[in-house]
Formats: sequence, C-alpha cells, structure tokens
Amino acid sequence: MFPSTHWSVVLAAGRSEAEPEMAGAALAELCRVYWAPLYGFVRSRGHSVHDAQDLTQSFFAYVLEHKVYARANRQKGRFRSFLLASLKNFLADAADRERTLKRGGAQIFLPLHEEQAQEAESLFQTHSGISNEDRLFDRSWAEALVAVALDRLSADYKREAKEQLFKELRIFIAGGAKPPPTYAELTDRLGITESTLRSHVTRLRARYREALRSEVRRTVDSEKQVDEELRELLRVLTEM
Amino acid sequence: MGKPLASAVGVCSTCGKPLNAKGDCLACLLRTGLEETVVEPKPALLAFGDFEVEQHADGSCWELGHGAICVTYLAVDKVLRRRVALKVIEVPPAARGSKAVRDRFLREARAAAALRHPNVAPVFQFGTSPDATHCYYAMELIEGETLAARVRRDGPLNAKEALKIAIQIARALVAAAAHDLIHRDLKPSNIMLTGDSEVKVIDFGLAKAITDAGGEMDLTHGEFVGTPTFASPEQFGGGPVDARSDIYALGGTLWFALTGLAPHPGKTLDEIRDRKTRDGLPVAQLIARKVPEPLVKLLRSTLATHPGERPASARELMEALESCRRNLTRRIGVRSEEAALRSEAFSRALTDAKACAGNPESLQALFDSAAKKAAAISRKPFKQNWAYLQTMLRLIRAYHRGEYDQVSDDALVWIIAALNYLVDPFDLIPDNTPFLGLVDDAYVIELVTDKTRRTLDAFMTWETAAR
Repeated sequence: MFPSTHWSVVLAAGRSEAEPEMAGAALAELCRVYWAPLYGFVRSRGHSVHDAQDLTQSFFAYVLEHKVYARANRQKGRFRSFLLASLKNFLADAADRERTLKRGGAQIFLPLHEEQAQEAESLFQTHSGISNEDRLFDRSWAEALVAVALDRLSADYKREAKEQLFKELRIFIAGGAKPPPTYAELTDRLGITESTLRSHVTRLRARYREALRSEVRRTVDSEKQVDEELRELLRVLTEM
Repeated sequence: MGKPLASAVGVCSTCGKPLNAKGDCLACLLRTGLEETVVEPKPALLAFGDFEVEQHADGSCWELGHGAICVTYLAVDKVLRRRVALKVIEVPPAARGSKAVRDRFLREARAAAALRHPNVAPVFQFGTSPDATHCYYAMELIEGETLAARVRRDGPLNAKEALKIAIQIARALVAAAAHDLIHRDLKPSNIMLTGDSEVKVIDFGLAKAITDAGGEMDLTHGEFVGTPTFASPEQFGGGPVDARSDIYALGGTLWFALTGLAPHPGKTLDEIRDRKTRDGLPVAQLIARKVPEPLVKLLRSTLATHPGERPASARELMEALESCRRNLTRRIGVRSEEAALRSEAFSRALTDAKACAGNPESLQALFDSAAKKAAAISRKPFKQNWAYLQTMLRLIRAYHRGEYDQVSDDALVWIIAALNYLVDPFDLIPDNTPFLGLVDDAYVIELVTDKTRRTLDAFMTWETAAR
C-alpha cells in the first residue's frame, strides 16, 4: 500500500466542514511547501509582489472552495502537474480571480507569514532569468522538495543533539562551491576516527535520501513515480 | 522586499552544476534521492613522518596486513623514494605518554635496527605520531607471501621444505640473541617467504614492546595482543619471557608448516592456555603427515610446556634442526628417486602375495623372488635390520617347510610383500624400529598387525631355543 500522499492532504482539506482542524492543517502544509513555486509562477506572469501574494493565497482558497482536487485524476498526473495546471486555469479565469481578490477569503484560510513571502520573492528574483515559466515552476518545486527534506533531516539531527555534526557533514549531500573538507580535516575537527566519520557520512546520505524520497512520495502515486519525478526534475535542472 | 538571493554563488565543486541561492547543489541533492553516488572527497593521504601510505584506485589505504591493534601498509618513503612496509601500531591508552614505555620502545627499536641478518627484514626508521597515539616503523618491503598464506594456499609442507624454513628462522633467532632481542610474536604470519622459500622474519620485538607495556599482557582480562595460538605457555602467565619463548613459537610455527594446524588451537584464550598447559601434543597429526621420528622428537622438546625442557638456546635448536635435515636428506635422497615406484611396487607386491597365499606353486615362485632380493639385501652392512630380514627369511622357510603353526598365512603375506617391496630397506628402516621398520609407510604400519608381530616374536623365541 502506497503511503498517504499530499493528495490525501488535499482530500483531507476537502472534508473541512466535517473536520475543520484537519483541513486547516492540510492546507497549511500545502501552503508551506508549495507556496513559493506557485507564487514564483504567478510573479513570472507579470503580477506585482502584492498581487502575486494575493493571487497565490486566493488560489489555495479557490482550490479548497471549489474542491478542485475532487476533479483531479490522481492516477493520471502528479500533484505537481495538477497544481500547475490548476493555477494556470485559475489565472486565466479573470472573473474568478477578481471575485476571489474582492472576497479576500484567502486570508481566512491561509495566513501568510512575512518571512515566507520574502523568501518566495527572493527565490523568484534569483530565478527571474528563467524565461520558461514552467521551468521556473519546476525549479522552484525542486527547491521546495529538497528544502523540506533538508529541514526535516536537520530537525532530526538537532533532536539527537547532533546539530554540529549535521552542519559539518551537510556538504557531503548538498555539495558547494568549495570541495568538501578532507576526512583528515574533519576527524581533527570533530574528534572522531576516520572510520566513524565515514559511517556518519554514509548514514547521513542514506537518511537524506529517504527523507527526500519520502517527500516526493507524497506527491506521486507509486514508488516507480518517485524515481520518474526525481529524474524529471533533474532533467529540468540540467537543461537550464 | 525580496532581494534576490546571491545567485552568483558559483558552481558545485562536485558536479559542476550551478548552485542555488543557498549555496547548495540542487542537482547533487536530487541525485542522492535517486541513489546515485555523489562523488565523495578523496581521503587525505595517510602519512607518518616521511612515509606516505599508498592508496588503491578507490582511494582506500593499501593494507598489507593487520592485527588487533596494528596495520601494516604499503607506503612510500618520500625522502628516499622507495617503497616500504609501514607498520602502524595503536598505542594502548594506558601506555600513552609513559616515559617507561617510550624508553622501552626506543630500546627495542634500536636493538631491532642494529639487527642485520639475511633472514630478518631490516627496519629502516621508527617514529611516533605527534599525539603519541601511534607508533610506526618502516621495514624492508618483502616481495612474497607469509608462511601462513603459503600453507593456506598449498597445504602443509613436506618435512624437507618445512625444515628449510625453520632453520632460517632459527638462524634469525640466533642473530637476534646476539643483540639480546626476543621476537615475542613469532608465528606463521610473521614469516615472509620470497620466491625461493628464503625466509625473512618480520616484526622483531617491536610490536610487543609497545603492546606489552604497562601490564597490558594481563591475559586473564582478554588483553592478549595478537594471536595467542603460537605463544609460549609462560607468555600466558605473564611471567618472565626469554629466548625460549621464541623457541616454543618456532616449534609451533614448524608444526603448522608440517600439518597446516596449530598444535593447540582454541576459540578462546582460556581454552588455548588450558590446552597448552594441560593437554599433550597431538602427535598423531605429525604421524599422519609422515613426519620423520627425529623431527617429531625435536618438536616434542621444542614445544615442551616448561622452558627448561626446551632447547636451551636458538643455536642449540638450529643445530638440532640441521641434524634432522641431514638425516632426512640422507633418507629422502634415496627415497626421492624411488618413492613413487616403491609405493606402487609395494601395492603390487601385496596383491601378488595375497594371490599366492593359498597356492603353493605361486608361493614358491614368490619365495624365490623374495629370497633373491633378500640375498642381495644381506650384503648390506646393517646388522640390526639384517637380523629382521633374516628372521623374515626364516619365517618364509618355515612356512615353506609346512611349519604353518609358526607362521600365520596373513603374516606370511605381509612378509613376502615386504621383501618384494624393500628394494633397499636400509634407507627406510630406522635403527630402533621393531619388526619391518616400515615407519615411512603408514599404510604398512596399519596393516602389519599385532598378530604378525606376535607370530614373529614367537618364531624368534622358538628359533633361539632351537639353537
């Protein structure tokens, strides 16, 4: 049995009348993870910062209000594709947009944090050179995915009182402009043996891998699609 | 709001893709999710003083061997640009920073460095890591394999080959004794063999000098360093250890070479210790391998539990080993040409003798043949064996005369077979061997039954009385 996905979060949100708390949590989750990619997409359409914020907020409200997810064919598309297609439809429908903006209903459901909004705008600015809006969305989506995985992993290490270890070893999964430090440097710095260090690195990579795949798993329908989704995102990146 | 993040943070040093605003490589992060390996940094070169450990293609250190607390690496002397075997020993925490330990290590190191002998791998240089956690020394890199590896690969060695190796080890011990140096960890894996079975003993004194320090040899607490299988009983007791410990270890090493087994194996320290001090030697292993009696006898004394019962010095042991080899060479020299033939010939003779046992005519022919050979043999000037052969001939004659009560059919079969087989028995029969003296052929020993012996004894008694 494939574990619950973000699709299920969306569906849970659809039961908001019966279980308003669950719907709120599901929506908050959606918003947290995918707000930036959707916001960036809206911005790439030429909307101002504030309009884009409102539109993105409104989009989530629209999704909930019109139970857009109920029309989604879970078997045919990934959640990423579904959201992007829905957003495009939403933006194309000026009447809907106007109506939602007037209502301001988004604020009811989706409190927008200033910090989150700023980060999303910064991300958009960084990628503003990407002319293809779909590619921009995919890139931002990939960013969101790995950020979730890294955040979760970081929190796990922190909980295990290994925050420093995670910071030191993070480069082995996230790369960087500078080459990773040599094992000798790290063993000195961390006061552990090389074999211990190697096993730490191996474990970190394995845990990160699982965290990322787990996150992707929430947006697709099968284990096979996890690989496909990662490959597609990787392909998008390498084509840029 | 929303200043662009620093987008020009460069490219990933690992895969060359642009980094994201946080300085992370999105491509590497996604690839990891696909279980593709992100290239790990090549580990730093492992270096000790002037020596740099060689690496395999995958970046791993090139180990030549390792023990419980030490690793021997293939390394390069950066100054002299030559390859060496670098032994790196982890100093037990209790011994770190101890002046006594350092002094002892230095003393042993100097003695080992002074030891120059064709059968000892020379030691070039010693050192300690800056944090005193490791000691290391560089030795000559011996191209070859250890005795342990040789036996594992080819099986036990024959007595001649094993003696050749043991004598060289003994020579190394003699040279070490001149420097008051004890190896303390002599074992098959510390014996390097070059292509022509030339021996180079490695690790003289040094490893143990460190690991024994500070009372870490308290064996009852599982602190025994290295394999205890070849250690002397006194090493288990923590008592004084002298050159006779090495003599014991050489005995164990020779035993291993001859049989492929340790004389006192065991899974735990206690088990090995108990066997060494309580159990007798499993000499049957040597007999099964047809190890000549003088060598068996020497091994018994070399592996004596009490040091006082062993050869008193390496020189004494070396001389005894050389004596064994001379004996063996004389005997093997004859055997080597005809051994295979004889084995086959005896088998044939036995078959013939059995076939003739119930057939007087055939038996007569066989007797004639045996008598002819015995006549030739009789010219050999070995009185004692001659007496046995004469006895055999008399038995045959007695049988021939119908004196069947003096000799059983079975005994006659064996006697005739032996006579046909023994083309030149004087090279096969040790002086103190009873009856047929075919100790070199376990097959014959098994088959010459007590009944035959008793028959022969009875015959001799009868003949003596008759005279």
